[in-house]
Amino acid sequence: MTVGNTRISGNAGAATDLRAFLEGDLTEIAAPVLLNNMGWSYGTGANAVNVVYADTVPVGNAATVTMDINAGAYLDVFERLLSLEAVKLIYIKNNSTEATLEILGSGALALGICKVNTDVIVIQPGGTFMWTDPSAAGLDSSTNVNIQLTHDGTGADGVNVDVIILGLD
Amino acid sequence: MTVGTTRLSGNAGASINLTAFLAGDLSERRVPAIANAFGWTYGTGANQVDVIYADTHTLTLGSTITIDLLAGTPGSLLDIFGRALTMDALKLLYIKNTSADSGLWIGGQGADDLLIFKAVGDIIYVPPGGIFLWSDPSAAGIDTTTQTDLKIQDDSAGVAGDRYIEIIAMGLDD
Repeated sequence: MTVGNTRISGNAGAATDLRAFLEGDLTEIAAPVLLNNMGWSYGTGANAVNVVYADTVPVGNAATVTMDINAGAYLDVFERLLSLEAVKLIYIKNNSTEATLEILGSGALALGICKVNTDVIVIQPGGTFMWTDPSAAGLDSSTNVNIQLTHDGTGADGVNVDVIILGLD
Repeated sequence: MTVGTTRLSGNAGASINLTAFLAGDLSERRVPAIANAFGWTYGTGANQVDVIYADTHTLTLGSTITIDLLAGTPGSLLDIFGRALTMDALKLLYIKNTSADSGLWIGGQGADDLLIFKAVGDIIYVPPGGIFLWSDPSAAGIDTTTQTDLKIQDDSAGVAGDRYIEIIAMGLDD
């Protein structure tokens, strides 16, 4: 007997719920800034994924970790071997208070988020990065499989990097 | 008489609140995945900003726009209160590609590229319907007094016509 059905529900993406107020003569101006994040479900269509990876990845001082998200070297949230064929959302948070994290840029096998496979995005201490492709296909990760995380060597400690990836198995 | 105080409150950033369920024999497994957006207030410290730019820009097939966050160009860009945009530090950048068929290239202007990339000329791709979000909640943010330019280019993959790019930039006023 199988209990339940494999499914995903919820939201993931960028969200803002800000209220800005500008004092003035006789009145004040209020300007809301609102964004809703995206809804995701289980499957292989648009806004649907069938695998979730969520973990903290330690990166030593001045070290580099290259995550192959296709080769089964990591475990998804259900502890199954991670073999992502396509990526639809990536979230990375640099939890260091002093070191900068450099992501991607590993060369020929770099995940194809950037125009050139050596392009690198910089995440400052405490900063975050998020990228989404809600299309049915997502971004192919069967050949360009690597997410490279590099600690820039600032400070004395390593960094714990929060990584969440949604995609297709 | 001055009414009110200039202030800001709320949250902005990446937000994830997902629950994944795996059907199994006699039981099902349930795992939440959660990431919270940052809280922001008005000011110049950590997790604070004093200027917000939020607008939609129109591109056409293959066209490019380069936004100078310090100079408030092209044209005369205004912040959300209608003041001239002069941002000298960036703390949050959000870009959404609302096109159904064209991708966007972000970055690659050259020497004046924003410091969200390791090298000038680096470029990130935002697919149709996709978003790019970057944040630096530190007190200083990244300096935009010399590296001022946010270049956005349509990748010519779609059909001719207008496509709309949502941009929110939060930071410090010059």
